[in-house]
Amino acid sequence: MSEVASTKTKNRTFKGRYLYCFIDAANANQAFDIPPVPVPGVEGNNRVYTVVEGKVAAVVSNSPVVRYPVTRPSLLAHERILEYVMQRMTTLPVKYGTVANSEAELRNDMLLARQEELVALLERFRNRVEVSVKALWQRERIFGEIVQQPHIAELKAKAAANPQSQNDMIEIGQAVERALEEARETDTARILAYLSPLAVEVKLNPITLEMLVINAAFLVDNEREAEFDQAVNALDDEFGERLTLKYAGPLPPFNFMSLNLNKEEE
Amino acid sequence: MGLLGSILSSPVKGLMNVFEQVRKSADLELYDETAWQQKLLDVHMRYEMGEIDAAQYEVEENRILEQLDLIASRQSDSDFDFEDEYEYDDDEYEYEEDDEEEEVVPISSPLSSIETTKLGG
Repeated sequence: MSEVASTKTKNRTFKGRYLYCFIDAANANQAFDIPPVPVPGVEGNNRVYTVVEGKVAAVVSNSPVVRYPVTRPSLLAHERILEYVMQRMTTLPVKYGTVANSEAELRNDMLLARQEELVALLERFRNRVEVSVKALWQRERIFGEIVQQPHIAELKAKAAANPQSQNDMIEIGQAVERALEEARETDTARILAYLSPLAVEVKLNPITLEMLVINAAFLVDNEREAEFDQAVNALDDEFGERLTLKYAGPLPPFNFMSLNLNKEEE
Repeated sequence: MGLLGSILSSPVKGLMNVFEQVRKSADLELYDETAWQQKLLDVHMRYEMGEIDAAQYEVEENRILEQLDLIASRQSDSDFDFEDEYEYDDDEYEYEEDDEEEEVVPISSPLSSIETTKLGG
């Protein structure tokens, strides 16, 4: 029902509550022995603790109702707290810089008003982790493969015979682009064939770099995490020469959350 | 007279609308938080791939974080009442310079979770 003291540190009496994440009420009664995101312009003596209502709890620290500047140390502090909590219990992460106007607002408008939704989300992420897999082509290798494709080799020969023609160059550029897109589809399908069967959910994020093949988040059952690791290793063995794999996790389920805390948009 | 008034004002007004449109579309790009969050992810990927080195990464990351901070400050203008939030009058409200060197790790995830910067009204 009330605040659980995690340390003997005196808490500042700011009226706002900086929000890190939501957890099960059953896990709220333990120490969160980690420094909070620093209040902008104010020296320490603040702590991370929980506010409990019903079956859920919010992990918070006291804060004035201000905007938190986007700086590396503060973002890292937020991230470290999420990691700390995530290593110990099911966690619903909240975006950096989220401040409730008061503890009453946090309790009534969030924990009580959204109780069912929060309980359902906690259930969904229980014993599951998010991992991220990115694959990037090795530039020389993929372009080396593409220029060997017969129709592109043909276009190149044609352009070489006719060096004045701008159109040939444009045509080659377009053909290479199409070939890259086809290669991306093929490689994405191969990667997903390995990994999707081991995941509860998959989210494909947008391709924003030319050499990026796939940028995906997977929601994985804890008990299948080792199997997933092995599958990523197997992928690396098979495609390591043309693809660089970036594997990260476990992460808080940022990619699978769809909770909107903003009252006006309800 | 009314006609003259409209002749005099409408072309100018029309142009202003065009400028406004241009400004808005530029704003969209410049102040699109999601796009800048994506840039942060991208620059980290480019660093991981070895396309840029740690020094370049740091420069890029700083630039993007500054822009994200600017975007957040624009959004929060109406959200937060900055007055009377600090109950201790001995605290100076100033941001400290961060010259501490930290390891290069991705920091984009906390920016892109639950869509809000504000609880309730």
